[in-house]
Amino acid sequence: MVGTLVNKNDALLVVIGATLACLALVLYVPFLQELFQVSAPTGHALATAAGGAFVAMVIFEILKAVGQIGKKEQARADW
Amino acid sequence: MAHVREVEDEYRGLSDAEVAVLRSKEGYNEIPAEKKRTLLDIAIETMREPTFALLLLGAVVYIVIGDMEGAALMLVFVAVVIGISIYQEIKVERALEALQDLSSPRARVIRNGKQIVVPGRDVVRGDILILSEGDRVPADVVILSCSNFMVDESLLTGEAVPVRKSTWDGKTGVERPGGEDLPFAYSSTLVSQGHAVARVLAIGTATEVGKIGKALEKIKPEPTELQKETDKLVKLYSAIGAIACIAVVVILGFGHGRWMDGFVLGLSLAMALVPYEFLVVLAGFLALGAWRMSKHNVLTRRMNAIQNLGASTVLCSDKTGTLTQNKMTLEKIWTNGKTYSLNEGKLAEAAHETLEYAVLASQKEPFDPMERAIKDSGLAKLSGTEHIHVDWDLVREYTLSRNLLALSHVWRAPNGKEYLIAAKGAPEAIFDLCHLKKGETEKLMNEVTALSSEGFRVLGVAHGHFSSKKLPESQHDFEFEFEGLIALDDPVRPEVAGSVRECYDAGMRVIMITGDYPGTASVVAKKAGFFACDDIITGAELDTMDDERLRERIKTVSVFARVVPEQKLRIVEALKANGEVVVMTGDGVNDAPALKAAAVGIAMGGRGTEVARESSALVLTDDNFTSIVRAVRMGRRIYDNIKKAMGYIISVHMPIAGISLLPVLFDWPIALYPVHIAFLELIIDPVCSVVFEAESEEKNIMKRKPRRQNEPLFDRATLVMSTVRGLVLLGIIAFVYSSALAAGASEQSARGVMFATLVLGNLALVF
Repeated sequence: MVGTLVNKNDALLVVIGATLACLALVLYVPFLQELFQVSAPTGHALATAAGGAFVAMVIFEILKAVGQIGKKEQARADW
Repeated sequence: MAHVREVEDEYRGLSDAEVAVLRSKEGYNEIPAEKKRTLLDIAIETMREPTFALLLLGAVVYIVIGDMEGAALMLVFVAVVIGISIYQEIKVERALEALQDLSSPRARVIRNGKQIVVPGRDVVRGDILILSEGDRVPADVVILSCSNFMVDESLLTGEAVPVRKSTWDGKTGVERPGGEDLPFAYSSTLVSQGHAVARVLAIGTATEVGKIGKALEKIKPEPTELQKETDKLVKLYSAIGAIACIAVVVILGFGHGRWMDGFVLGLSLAMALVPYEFLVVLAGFLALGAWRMSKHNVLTRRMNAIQNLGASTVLCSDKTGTLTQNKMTLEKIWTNGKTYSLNEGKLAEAAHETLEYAVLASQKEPFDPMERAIKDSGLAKLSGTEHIHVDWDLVREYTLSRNLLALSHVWRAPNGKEYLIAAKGAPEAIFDLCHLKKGETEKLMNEVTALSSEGFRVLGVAHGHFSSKKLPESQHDFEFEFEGLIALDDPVRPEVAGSVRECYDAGMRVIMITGDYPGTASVVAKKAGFFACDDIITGAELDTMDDERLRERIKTVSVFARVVPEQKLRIVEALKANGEVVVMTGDGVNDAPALKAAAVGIAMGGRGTEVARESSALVLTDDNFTSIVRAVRMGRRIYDNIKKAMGYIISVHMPIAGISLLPVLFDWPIALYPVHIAFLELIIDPVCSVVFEAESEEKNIMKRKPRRQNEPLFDRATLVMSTVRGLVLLGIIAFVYSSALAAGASEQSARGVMFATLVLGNLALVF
């Protein structure tokens, strides 16, 4: 995450915006709610979803860090 | 043949207005290629994709269960898939066409009295063309003047031996191809020797090649290794999806009597397992990568090159113009045992004649940087002396040939009774022309070695006289007298040393292949920052080595000198036999086999021949070594980003497939319907994967070893990491879904919060 945020990626904000907009449409537009068979989540439910995603992100970062260490060791062994 | 300026004076060519009128009347100079794919063709191709079939099946299931709105939405997705596919295909095709146009054959024409280079398709009838060795003739032409002009017409006649051409006598009518001494040359044939000025008689379908409808082979967008590997994986997952779908239907249908749930869940699972995005991402990333590379002076002719660039282990480069600036200056003249510097004010009288004949052996208005340097020095040092001959007539040129690396110009002074011949070329060739004795040659070779060890390019100069009326066919038939040696300097491009360093840091070897002397090559290699510049293999040594010995020696040698283009192929083959992935540069006709044999053949766009361009995978528009290194860097970045995007897609499919399957195992309400999966796979995932295309390069991109060429895109580490990340996300959304259900939330509410977690988790995977 840090790497992605530090390195300028012009597409990142657009992608986040577009994804959140699509999600909002599905969750809050009645016609789409019906099609997707969902009901608009409460604030608590939204916080749960965001919390779940945040936990996922933290775990991904830990996995990435572990992967980087492995990669570095592999690179050192290759050289 | 006349000189460039004379050609421009003699032939004004067409004006821009005339060209515009002719083009509007007769169109572009092109032979209609194979039928272009229509929108319908693309749509039909898309319908053959498994994703399309699954969406359609989804719509049918919705109709069966009576959910017409769901069915309508699935049909909307069907339309979206077709729309996206058509848009993407058109975009990729356009990008490839634009690149092909940029790297397609060019033509040197005279228009408005000026010589310009235009794309071959822009040539119109009446254009004056200048044709040189290695050019593809862009249209049917009549030859107005020529020198040693030979053309390979095998494409039209099947005759493999090039045929000699002659100058048009002003009367002969147009003839069909075939036979010697015709004053016509035909579209798509190849100039194998000499040069000519010609007028265009016919273009496009009116040409001989157009009449038989035999267009030159166009590069087809052949599938890359990456695409083949991905295609295989998509097929494998499609099969797994089909089996899983059947299994779910059978278990729920026969086991629990829930047939309809079985169909819905089975279909959802199949959709979740087919990684449709793989192919979209790959095609898009490669096309966009080629477009990005074109912004950095590298045109992609074959997509496989992008993949191979990141795996390249050896970079074989020409010297002149690639490592050096190709901006020559004449530095020294050696004659009669003494060396004279041209940087010390007035040139000593003793060196005047050598410079005079060097000027006479060059074009009056030269293009070649070496000849330009000679002419500039001549004007600076000889003006006001009797050694400048503006009123002399050039009677004939004897051009360089593979057998004799020397050229001669035959001149006649006004009222002169005999011809004067000036020759210049490779010192050995000039010694040969002068019939020097062995002892003399050895002494002179010592001087050549001394000058070349200072990094100079060394040429020999000679002159002769001829009094018979009929000039001989060969330069060997003149009596030449040796004049002296001239030494030219061609500075190394200032940025090259940094780029060579970058290659070494990136675990790549750099090899210089040059026709110059070992001494010159060694000095240039040192200035360019090469390792091991003193261990050199010459062309002559190369000829004496068997393949095994060459394979052994090539492991440590980085400089090849006095090498002819034909020997490049042996160098490439030896490197390949050692397991290297070779990037090779080239510009001449004879470089074509080596360019084809290399993993990445790179042609020089500026000075390269059409044949070299046609044989290459990449074309450099600025002929600069640094651009090659930049291309390697970009190739690595594109591959990295494809890998990251693929990893993301694998990860994201895990929770989608998993959460589709869990309700079967735990008797939960259906979590994802086909409509959710279509929404995720067709909208959310492709949108999110855009981030990876725009991802900047990794910090250590040129500090790590080249990728193994046979390294799979989906290696174990990538698959494991992606799977673990996918399982983590699956665990979280399963927990959210089950907790919501356990807390008494309605099915819709539980699905809503689970779906929101899944989409936000998707974003988490992007970081």
